[in-house]
Amino acid sequence: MADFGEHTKGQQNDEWDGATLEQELRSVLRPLAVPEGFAARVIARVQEVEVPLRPVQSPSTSKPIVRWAIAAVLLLTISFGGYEQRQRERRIAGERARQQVLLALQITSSTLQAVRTKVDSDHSN
Amino acid sequence: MHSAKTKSSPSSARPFLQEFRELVEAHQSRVFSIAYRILRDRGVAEEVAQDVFLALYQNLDRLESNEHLLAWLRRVTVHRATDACRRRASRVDFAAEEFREERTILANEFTSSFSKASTHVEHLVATLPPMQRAVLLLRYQEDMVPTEIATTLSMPLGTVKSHLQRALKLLRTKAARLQKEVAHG
Repeated sequence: MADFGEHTKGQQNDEWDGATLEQELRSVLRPLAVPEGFAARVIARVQEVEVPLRPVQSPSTSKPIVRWAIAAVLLLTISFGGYEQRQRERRIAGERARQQVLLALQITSSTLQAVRTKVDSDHSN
Repeated sequence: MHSAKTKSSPSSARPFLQEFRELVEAHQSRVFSIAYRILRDRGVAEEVAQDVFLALYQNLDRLESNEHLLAWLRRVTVHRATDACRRRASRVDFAAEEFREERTILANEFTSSFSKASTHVEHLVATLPPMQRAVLLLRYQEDMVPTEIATTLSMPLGTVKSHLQRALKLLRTKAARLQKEVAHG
Protein backbone atom coordinates (compact mmCIF):
# COMPACT_ATOMS: atom_id res chain seq x y z
CA MET A 1 0.00 0.00 0.00
CA ALA A 2 1.41 3.40 -0.97
CA ASP A 3 2.11 5.67 1.97
CA PHE A 4 2.06 9.41 1.45
CA GLY A 5 4.09 9.85 4.58
CA GLU A 6 6.99 8.14 2.83
CA HIS A 7 6.53 10.29 -0.28
CA THR A 8 6.86 13.44 1.75
CA LYS A 9 10.32 12.33 2.73
CA GLY A 10 11.46 12.83 -0.83
CA GLN A 11 10.39 9.76 -2.84
CA GLN A 12 9.09 10.15 -6.38
CA ASN A 13 5.33 10.01 -6.96
CA ASP A 14 5.50 7.48 -9.80
CA GLU A 15 3.86 4.80 -7.60
CA TRP A 16 0.64 6.76 -8.06
CA ASP A 17 0.50 6.29 -11.80
CA GLY A 18 -1.92 4.04 -13.68
CA ALA A 19 -2.63 0.63 -12.24
CA THR A 20 -1.27 1.36 -8.75
CA LEU A 21 -3.75 4.16 -8.17
CA GLU A 22 -6.58 1.96 -9.43
CA GLN A 23 -5.49 -0.87 -7.13
CA GLU A 24 -5.31 1.54 -4.24
CA LEU A 25 -8.80 2.84 -4.96
CA ARG A 26 -10.22 -0.69 -5.10
CA SER A 27 -8.71 -1.60 -1.76
CA VAL A 28 -9.73 1.66 -0.07
CA LEU A 29 -13.26 2.05 -1.40
CA ARG A 30 -14.76 -0.99 0.29
CA PRO A 31 -18.36 -0.93 1.56
CA LEU A 32 -18.63 0.70 4.99
CA ALA A 33 -20.48 -0.52 8.07
CA VAL A 34 -23.92 1.08 8.41
CA PRO A 35 -24.97 2.89 11.62
CA GLU A 36 -26.42 0.49 14.19
CA GLY A 37 -30.18 -0.10 13.89
CA PHE A 38 -30.33 1.22 10.34
CA ALA A 39 -32.58 -1.56 8.98
CA ALA A 40 -34.96 -1.20 11.94
CA ARG A 41 -35.30 2.54 11.28
CA VAL A 42 -36.03 1.88 7.60
CA ILE A 43 -38.73 -0.66 8.51
CA ALA A 44 -40.25 1.82 10.99
CA ARG A 45 -40.50 4.44 8.24
CA VAL A 46 -42.02 1.87 5.86
CA GLN A 47 -44.66 0.99 8.48
CA GLU A 48 -45.50 4.70 8.89
CA VAL A 49 -46.30 5.08 5.20
CA GLU A 50 -47.69 1.57 4.63
CA VAL A 51 -51.41 2.40 5.10
CA PRO A 52 -51.74 5.54 2.93
CA LEU A 53 -49.48 4.11 0.24
CA ARG A 54 -51.07 0.69 -0.06
CA PRO A 55 -54.86 0.98 0.08
CA VAL A 56 -56.63 -2.38 0.19
CA GLN A 57 -57.61 -3.32 -3.34
CA SER A 58 -59.68 -6.12 -4.75
CA PRO A 59 -57.01 -8.36 -6.26
CA SER A 60 -59.19 -9.33 -9.26
CA THR A 61 -59.91 -5.74 -10.36
CA SER A 62 -56.33 -4.62 -9.83
CA LYS A 63 -55.14 -6.63 -12.86
CA PRO A 64 -55.06 -4.58 -16.08
CA ILE A 65 -56.55 -7.38 -18.20
CA VAL A 66 -59.60 -7.60 -15.91
CA ARG A 67 -60.05 -3.83 -16.06
CA TRP A 68 -59.90 -3.92 -19.87
CA ALA A 69 -62.42 -6.77 -20.00
CA ILE A 70 -64.82 -4.86 -17.73
CA ALA A 71 -64.49 -1.75 -19.90
CA ALA A 72 -65.11 -3.77 -23.08
CA VAL A 73 -68.25 -5.44 -21.62
CA LEU A 74 -69.61 -2.06 -20.47
CA LEU A 75 -68.98 -0.55 -23.91
CA LEU A 76 -70.72 -3.47 -25.65
CA THR A 77 -73.70 -3.28 -23.26
CA ILE A 78 -74.10 0.46 -23.83
CA SER A 79 -73.82 0.07 -27.63
CA PHE A 80 -76.28 -2.85 -27.76
CA GLY A 81 -78.72 -1.02 -25.44
CA GLY A 82 -78.68 2.01 -27.73
CA TYR A 83 -79.32 -0.11 -30.80
CA GLU A 84 -82.26 -1.88 -29.09
CA GLN A 85 -83.77 1.47 -28.03
CA ARG A 86 -83.58 2.83 -31.60
CA GLN A 87 -85.25 -0.34 -32.99
CA ARG A 88 -88.05 -0.07 -30.42
CA GLU A 89 -88.71 3.58 -31.24
CA ARG A 90 -88.78 2.73 -34.96
CA ARG A 91 -91.34 -0.07 -34.33
CA ILE A 92 -93.62 2.27 -32.31
CA ALA A 93 -93.45 4.99 -35.01
CA GLY A 94 -94.32 2.40 -37.71
CA GLU A 95 -97.28 1.10 -35.72
CA ARG A 96 -98.55 4.66 -35.16
CA ALA A 97 -98.32 5.43 -38.92
CA ARG A 98 -100.20 2.20 -39.74
CA GLN A 99 -102.97 3.14 -37.29
CA GLN A 100 -103.26 6.60 -38.88
CA VAL A 101 -103.50 5.13 -42.42
CA LEU A 102 -106.23 2.68 -41.25
CA LEU A 103 -108.17 5.52 -39.62
CA ALA A 104 -107.90 7.63 -42.81
CA LEU A 105 -109.14 4.70 -44.89
CA GLN A 106 -112.08 4.16 -42.51
CA ILE A 107 -113.03 7.86 -42.74
CA THR A 108 -112.76 7.80 -46.54
CA SER A 109 -114.83 4.62 -46.72
CA SER A 110 -117.60 5.99 -44.48
CA THR A 111 -117.64 9.28 -46.40
CA LEU A 112 -117.95 7.42 -49.71
CA GLN A 113 -120.73 5.27 -48.24
CA ALA A 114 -122.66 8.39 -47.17
CA VAL A 115 -122.25 9.98 -50.61
CA ARG A 116 -123.39 6.78 -52.30
CA THR A 117 -126.47 6.54 -50.06
CA LYS A 118 -127.39 10.16 -50.88
CA VAL A 119 -126.91 9.62 -54.65
CA ASP A 120 -129.05 6.45 -54.53
CA SER A 121 -131.88 8.28 -52.67
CA ASP A 122 -131.78 11.18 -55.22
CA HIS A 123 -132.16 8.70 -58.11
CA SER A 124 -135.08 6.94 -56.49
CA ASN A 125 -136.91 10.27 -56.03
CA MET B 1 -39.97 -10.13 -7.50
CA HIS B 2 -42.50 -9.39 -4.82
CA SER B 3 -46.11 -9.15 -5.89
CA ALA B 4 -48.46 -6.33 -4.96
CA LYS B 5 -50.77 -8.89 -3.39
CA THR B 6 -48.32 -9.60 -0.58
CA LYS B 7 -48.50 -5.97 0.49
CA SER B 8 -52.22 -5.39 -0.04
CA SER B 9 -53.73 -6.58 3.21
CA PRO B 10 -52.58 -5.74 6.72
CA SER B 11 -52.56 -9.42 7.70
CA SER B 12 -50.04 -10.27 4.98
CA ALA B 13 -47.91 -7.16 5.57
CA ARG B 14 -45.88 -8.71 8.39
CA PRO B 15 -44.29 -11.58 6.44
CA PHE B 16 -43.59 -9.14 3.60
CA LEU B 17 -41.89 -6.65 5.93
CA GLN B 18 -39.63 -9.44 7.18
CA GLU B 19 -38.71 -10.21 3.57
CA PHE B 20 -38.15 -6.52 2.89
CA ARG B 21 -35.98 -6.20 5.99
CA GLU B 22 -33.75 -8.98 4.65
CA LEU B 23 -33.49 -7.05 1.39
CA VAL B 24 -32.48 -3.90 3.29
CA GLU B 25 -29.87 -5.82 5.25
CA ALA B 26 -28.44 -7.30 2.06
CA HIS B 27 -27.92 -3.92 0.39
CA GLN B 28 -27.66 -1.38 3.23
CA SER B 29 -23.88 -1.28 3.32
CA ARG B 30 -23.59 -0.67 -0.43
CA VAL B 31 -26.25 2.09 -0.40
CA PHE B 32 -24.90 3.79 2.73
CA SER B 33 -21.29 3.68 1.46
CA ILE B 34 -22.19 5.35 -1.85
CA ALA B 35 -24.25 8.02 -0.07
CA TYR B 36 -21.58 8.64 2.59
CA ARG B 37 -18.70 8.85 0.13
CA ILE B 38 -20.58 11.39 -1.96
CA LEU B 39 -21.85 13.43 1.01
CA ARG B 40 -19.08 12.97 3.61
CA ASP B 41 -21.65 13.31 6.41
CA ARG B 42 -22.91 10.22 8.22
CA GLY B 43 -26.19 11.80 9.32
CA VAL B 44 -27.17 13.08 5.89
CA ALA B 45 -25.92 9.86 4.28
CA GLU B 46 -28.17 7.79 6.55
CA GLU B 47 -31.13 10.03 5.73
CA VAL B 48 -30.48 9.61 1.99
CA ALA B 49 -30.00 5.85 2.38
CA GLN B 50 -33.31 5.57 4.28
CA ASP B 51 -35.08 7.58 1.56
CA VAL B 52 -33.63 5.24 -1.07
CA PHE B 53 -35.01 2.16 0.72
CA LEU B 54 -38.38 3.82 1.21
CA ALA B 55 -38.49 4.56 -2.53
CA LEU B 56 -37.44 0.95 -3.16
CA TYR B 57 -40.41 -0.25 -1.10
CA GLN B 58 -42.75 1.93 -3.16
CA ASN B 59 -41.28 0.73 -6.49
CA LEU B 60 -40.68 -2.93 -5.65
CA ASP B 61 -43.47 -4.16 -7.92
CA ARG B 62 -41.75 -2.66 -10.96
CA LEU B 63 -38.40 -4.38 -10.41
CA GLU B 64 -38.19 -7.62 -12.33
CA SER B 65 -34.93 -9.24 -11.20
CA ASN B 66 -32.10 -8.93 -8.69
CA GLU B 67 -29.90 -7.30 -11.36
CA HIS B 68 -32.64 -4.76 -12.04
CA LEU B 69 -32.95 -4.11 -8.31
CA LEU B 70 -29.20 -3.63 -7.90
CA ALA B 71 -28.97 -1.24 -10.86
CA TRP B 72 -32.00 0.68 -9.52
CA LEU B 73 -30.46 0.99 -6.04
CA ARG B 74 -27.15 2.27 -7.42
CA ARG B 75 -28.80 4.78 -9.76
CA VAL B 76 -31.23 6.17 -7.19
CA THR B 77 -28.56 6.38 -4.47
CA VAL B 78 -26.14 8.27 -6.72
CA HIS B 79 -28.84 10.69 -7.90
CA ARG B 80 -30.24 11.36 -4.43
CA ALA B 81 -26.80 11.79 -2.87
CA THR B 82 -25.56 14.15 -5.59
CA ASP B 83 -28.81 16.14 -5.32
CA ALA B 84 -28.35 16.41 -1.54
CA CYS B 85 -24.75 17.46 -2.14
CA ARG B 86 -25.87 20.24 -4.52
CA ARG B 87 -28.52 21.42 -2.07
CA ARG B 88 -25.91 21.68 0.69
CA ALA B 89 -23.50 23.47 -1.63
CA SER B 90 -26.15 26.03 -2.58
CA ARG B 91 -27.16 26.73 1.05
CA VAL B 92 -23.69 27.83 2.10
CA ASP B 93 -20.49 28.12 0.17
CA PHE B 94 -20.02 24.52 1.14
CA ALA B 95 -17.57 23.58 -1.60
CA ALA B 96 -15.05 26.24 -0.61
CA GLU B 97 -15.45 25.47 3.08
CA GLU B 98 -15.15 21.73 2.46
CA PHE B 99 -12.06 22.27 0.32
CA ARG B 100 -10.32 24.33 3.03
CA GLU B 101 -11.30 21.75 5.65
CA GLU B 102 -10.04 18.85 3.53
CA ARG B 103 -6.73 20.60 2.90
CA THR B 104 -6.21 21.12 6.62
CA ILE B 105 -7.06 17.50 7.40
CA LEU B 106 -4.84 16.22 4.63
CA ALA B 107 -1.92 18.43 5.58
CA ASN B 108 -2.16 17.21 9.19
CA GLU B 109 -2.39 13.59 8.12
CA PHE B 110 0.54 13.88 5.76
CA THR B 111 2.77 14.96 8.58
CA SER B 112 1.61 12.18 10.89
CA SER B 113 4.01 9.25 10.96
CA PHE B 114 1.20 6.84 11.85
CA SER B 115 -1.13 7.86 9.01
CA LYS B 116 -2.28 5.32 6.49
CA ALA B 117 -2.48 5.76 2.73
CA SER B 118 -6.10 4.53 2.75
CA THR B 119 -7.18 7.57 4.79
CA HIS B 120 -5.42 9.89 2.36
CA VAL B 121 -7.07 8.28 -0.65
CA GLU B 122 -10.51 8.51 0.99
CA HIS B 123 -9.98 12.21 1.68
CA LEU B 124 -8.65 12.89 -1.79
CA VAL B 125 -11.68 11.16 -3.32
CA ALA B 126 -13.88 13.36 -1.13
CA THR B 127 -12.47 16.50 -2.72
CA LEU B 128 -13.54 15.49 -6.24
CA PRO B 129 -16.63 17.09 -7.82
CA PRO B 130 -19.80 15.07 -6.93
CA MET B 131 -20.39 13.43 -10.31
CA GLN B 132 -16.73 12.43 -10.74
CA ARG B 133 -16.86 11.03 -7.21
CA ALA B 134 -20.02 9.06 -8.05
CA VAL B 135 -18.56 7.56 -11.22
CA LEU B 136 -15.33 6.70 -9.39
CA LEU B 137 -17.32 4.96 -6.62
CA LEU B 138 -19.31 2.88 -9.08
CA ARG B 139 -16.07 1.92 -10.84
CA TYR B 140 -13.94 1.02 -7.81
CA GLN B 141 -16.36 0.40 -4.92
CA GLU B 142 -19.02 -1.38 -6.97
CA ASP B 143 -16.52 -2.81 -9.47
CA MET B 144 -18.65 -1.83 -12.47
CA VAL B 145 -17.26 -1.41 -15.99
CA PRO B 146 -17.83 1.94 -17.80
CA THR B 147 -20.64 0.53 -19.98
CA GLU B 148 -22.52 -0.62 -16.86
CA ILE B 149 -22.01 2.79 -15.23
CA ALA B 150 -23.31 4.50 -18.37
CA THR B 151 -26.46 2.34 -18.33
CA THR B 152 -26.99 2.78 -14.61
CA LEU B 153 -26.66 6.57 -14.69
CA SER B 154 -28.33 6.98 -18.13
CA MET B 155 -25.20 8.77 -19.27
CA PRO B 156 -23.27 8.51 -22.56
CA LEU B 157 -20.29 6.12 -22.37
CA GLY B 158 -17.95 8.94 -23.46
CA THR B 159 -19.08 11.09 -20.52
CA VAL B 160 -18.46 8.25 -18.07
CA LYS B 161 -14.95 7.65 -19.47
CA SER B 162 -14.24 11.36 -19.39
CA HIS B 163 -15.40 11.62 -15.74
CA LEU B 164 -13.18 8.66 -14.81
CA GLN B 165 -10.11 10.01 -16.60
CA ARG B 166 -10.55 13.48 -15.12
CA ALA B 167 -11.12 12.05 -11.63
CA LEU B 168 -7.96 9.93 -11.77
CA LYS B 169 -5.93 12.84 -13.18
CA LEU B 170 -7.27 15.17 -10.52
CA LEU B 171 -6.44 12.65 -7.77
CA ARG B 172 -2.84 12.40 -8.98
CA THR B 173 -2.51 16.19 -9.26
CA LYS B 174 -3.99 16.80 -5.80
CA ALA B 175 -1.76 14.16 -4.24
CA ALA B 176 1.34 15.64 -5.83
CA ARG B 177 0.40 19.21 -4.84
CA LEU B 178 -0.29 18.24 -1.23
CA GLN B 179 2.99 16.38 -1.01
CA LYS B 180 4.83 19.49 -2.20
CA GLU B 181 2.97 21.72 0.27
CA VAL B 182 3.73 19.40 3.16
CA ALA B 183 7.35 18.99 2.10
CA HIS B 184 7.79 22.79 2.07
CA GLY B 185 6.11 23.11 5.45
